[in-house]
Amino acid sequence: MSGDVDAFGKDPAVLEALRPRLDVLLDSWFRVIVEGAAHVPADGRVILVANHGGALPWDALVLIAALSRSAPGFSGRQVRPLVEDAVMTAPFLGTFLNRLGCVRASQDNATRLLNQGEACLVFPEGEQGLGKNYRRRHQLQRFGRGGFVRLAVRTHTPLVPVAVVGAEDTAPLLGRIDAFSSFFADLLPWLPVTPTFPFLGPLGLLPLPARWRIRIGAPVDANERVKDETDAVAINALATSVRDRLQRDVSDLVEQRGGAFF
Amino acid sequence: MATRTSTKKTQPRSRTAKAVATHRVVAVTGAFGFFGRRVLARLEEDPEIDRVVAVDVRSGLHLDPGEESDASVITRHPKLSAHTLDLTAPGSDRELADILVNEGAQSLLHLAFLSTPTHHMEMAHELETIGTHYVLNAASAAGISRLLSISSTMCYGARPDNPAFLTEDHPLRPPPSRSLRDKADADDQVRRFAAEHPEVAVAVARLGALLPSARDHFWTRLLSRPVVPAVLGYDPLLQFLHPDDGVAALWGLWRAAARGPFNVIGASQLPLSHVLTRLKKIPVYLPARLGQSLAAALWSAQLVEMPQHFFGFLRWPWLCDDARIRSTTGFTPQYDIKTVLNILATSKEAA
Repeated sequence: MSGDVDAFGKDPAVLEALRPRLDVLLDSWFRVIVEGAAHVPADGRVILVANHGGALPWDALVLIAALSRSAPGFSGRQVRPLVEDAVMTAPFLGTFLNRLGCVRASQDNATRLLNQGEACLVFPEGEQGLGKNYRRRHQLQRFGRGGFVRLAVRTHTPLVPVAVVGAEDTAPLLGRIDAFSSFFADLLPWLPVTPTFPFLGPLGLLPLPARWRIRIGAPVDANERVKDETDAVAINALATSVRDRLQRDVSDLVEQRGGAFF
Repeated sequence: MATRTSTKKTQPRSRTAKAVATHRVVAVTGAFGFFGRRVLARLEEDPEIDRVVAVDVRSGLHLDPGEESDASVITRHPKLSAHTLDLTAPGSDRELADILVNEGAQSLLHLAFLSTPTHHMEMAHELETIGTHYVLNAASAAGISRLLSISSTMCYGARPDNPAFLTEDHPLRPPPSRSLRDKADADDQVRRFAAEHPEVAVAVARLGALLPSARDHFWTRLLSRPVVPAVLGYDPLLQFLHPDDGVAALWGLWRAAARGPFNVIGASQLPLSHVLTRLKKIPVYLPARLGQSLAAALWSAQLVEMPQHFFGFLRWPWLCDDARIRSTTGFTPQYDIKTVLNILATSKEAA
């Protein structure tokens, strides 16, 4: 833990130290299967666009761990997830994710990361994705104002769709206790209720052994689809088409996977 | 506070004849302060500068005990023309204007700021806010054409919604701490002055957390204790500015007649936890709310020199970007954070 920390807070030593445990988590617990890793460029700027879900941001952690390993046609890259404020400002969790490479989601931070040639991972659903009930699992929520498309157009960055299945089953959100919100105001916007949390205490934060599927699609050239970054109609059209594409892939993966746990 | 009269200490020049204003004469407020003394040394060496007009509440001979100052060298220096002036006194704007006109100074370095928060909040307010107002009045009346002032990167405030890097375009959002509010107010005043006086080249150097500096300065004192407070679950990245780099940056800005605000920080950054490990300090992790209340109580009781709102600087991000000064003046900090920490760790103060 004494390595150099980059300007955005990533300490590569933390991921390396966790690697053996993450390998067990990904292979034996989550049984992650990644399709199309070769669509992630080996270097240079890229925006990975993923769906978001679960009571805790396990998807960010799994994507960092899974995509930093090599796959056929892909040498592995430590992606930089852009994570919503509620998570990044939470004690311990925010600091831990920051050392793993996560950065608070903002246009300013994303632009800097892309200008450094980093691979940014965005969750356009934001808190709406993270805070959705288990009943609505595998259903993409609204995509905000298409900020990721504007970002891609402005910085001339390709968009790579990443469909993820497993996050909601790993930490299913059954309910939210908003009544505690004033007490937990500095912690989280709500207190998540999962089958094991808070009933099992901190133990309830352990992930359920859901099976994960990740499908990475071919890059989309945003500048080809949106000529002018102020063209709200074109931006919205591209954001919607990426969302539809992700929804199709997610539904497809859910069907292909079969049972969530067995 | 010291006398209000302006007295000449050296240079038997005539005070009746107005000198021709020139950049070869540089006036410095707060000239015997932490940065002032270091800038005077630079001005001494520069062959393009004929005279240095030092303005300070102190006479230059009575420096704080323990400061490693070469006060005698400064006061004996042939270029120096020292004036004793209290910027908190009403009418000091006119006195300063007279000094500037009589000495023929075209350039003014406004360095009369407190280097660290103090419980003397009234005095601090009078000096930093009202004092800056007087200095700007004097600069305007004397027709100064180049002005450089200092401020702090802490004026941006440490906040959860700060970007990873604060640029000069980011608004100053200081915490509700008198000392930072006053500095931010002075920063605002100077920038307003710049907008109203386009004929004057006005720059503000927003200096980062100084380390290692004088023993009574905030960050040096905080990190010289054996036990250092930290916030449970948080570990913000920190940058530190070595005073030599600070002086070099001020010098570069003045030479370039730069305009606008400039962040001045050291090279590289480390999380607070790494900083404490490198300094072999014992962190005391406090939950945010408890820490905040404790800090407030200790500050109110005047038991500590850390205002309660400074706790946020150990919790939320406030890293700055110095691309602007690098491209404008070619300045590059010579000390990176690890070097600065090594210097502090091996100095006597840290023991």
